[in-house]
Amino acid sequence: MVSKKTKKSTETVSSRLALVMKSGKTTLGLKSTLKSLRQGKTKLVVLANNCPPLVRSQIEYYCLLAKCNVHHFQGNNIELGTACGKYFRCACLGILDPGDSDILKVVEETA
Amino acid sequence: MVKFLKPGKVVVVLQGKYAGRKAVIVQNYDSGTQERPYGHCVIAGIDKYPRKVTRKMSEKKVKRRSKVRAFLRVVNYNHIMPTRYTLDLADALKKVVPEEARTNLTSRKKAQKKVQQLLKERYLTGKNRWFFRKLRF
Repeated sequence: MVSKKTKKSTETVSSRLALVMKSGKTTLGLKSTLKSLRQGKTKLVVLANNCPPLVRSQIEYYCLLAKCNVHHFQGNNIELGTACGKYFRCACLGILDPGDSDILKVVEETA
Repeated sequence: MVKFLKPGKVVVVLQGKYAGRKAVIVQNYDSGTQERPYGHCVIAGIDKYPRKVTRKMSEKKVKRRSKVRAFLRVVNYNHIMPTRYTLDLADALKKVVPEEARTNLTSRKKAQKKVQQLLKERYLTGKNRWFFRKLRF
């Protein structure tokens, strides 16, 4: 049921994540993402689709207050961890500095 | 991208004795201090909410039910949930709560009495209804 357009945009987000990991600054994990949100440092938050609903609502609310974008990644936490190039699962990821990547603009367009 | 934990922000306490209570940030320390190397803030909140008042009640009864009991506490950012509401008492509260209230227990107790007075006055004006209503959970 995933339309072609969304699939394409997901791929672009995944590919850009790799670049962000290399050139930019990120925080992985709920606790550190919340911390950076409170400090106003995050530019974008990426959530896996199997993120527990309470955590999802909490992050979305924090992002609302911090005027930060949330991207719902089309994959579960295992896939998000892989997209980050890590060997562990990651359900919640905060991008502080996109580096050379234009991931922020891509998310703005699709939002 | 915006820092939202500022004095005047209404916040819900998540842990401890005052869990579930609404509070206002009086002063926040984003980078922490020597004794507390984590982000924390001084919070003035409602310990005992004022009870519901109806038109039928006598004045004496209304007065008894409109009591607000406040608390003053230093709390880690992890243990509060910020809301979209603000309470513009921050300036008044800051004047009343001195710097030593963070560390000194007696000055905190004194400040708490003044805070209680301030909050009660605000409740009686009828503004910020949401703040003075108990959070049901």
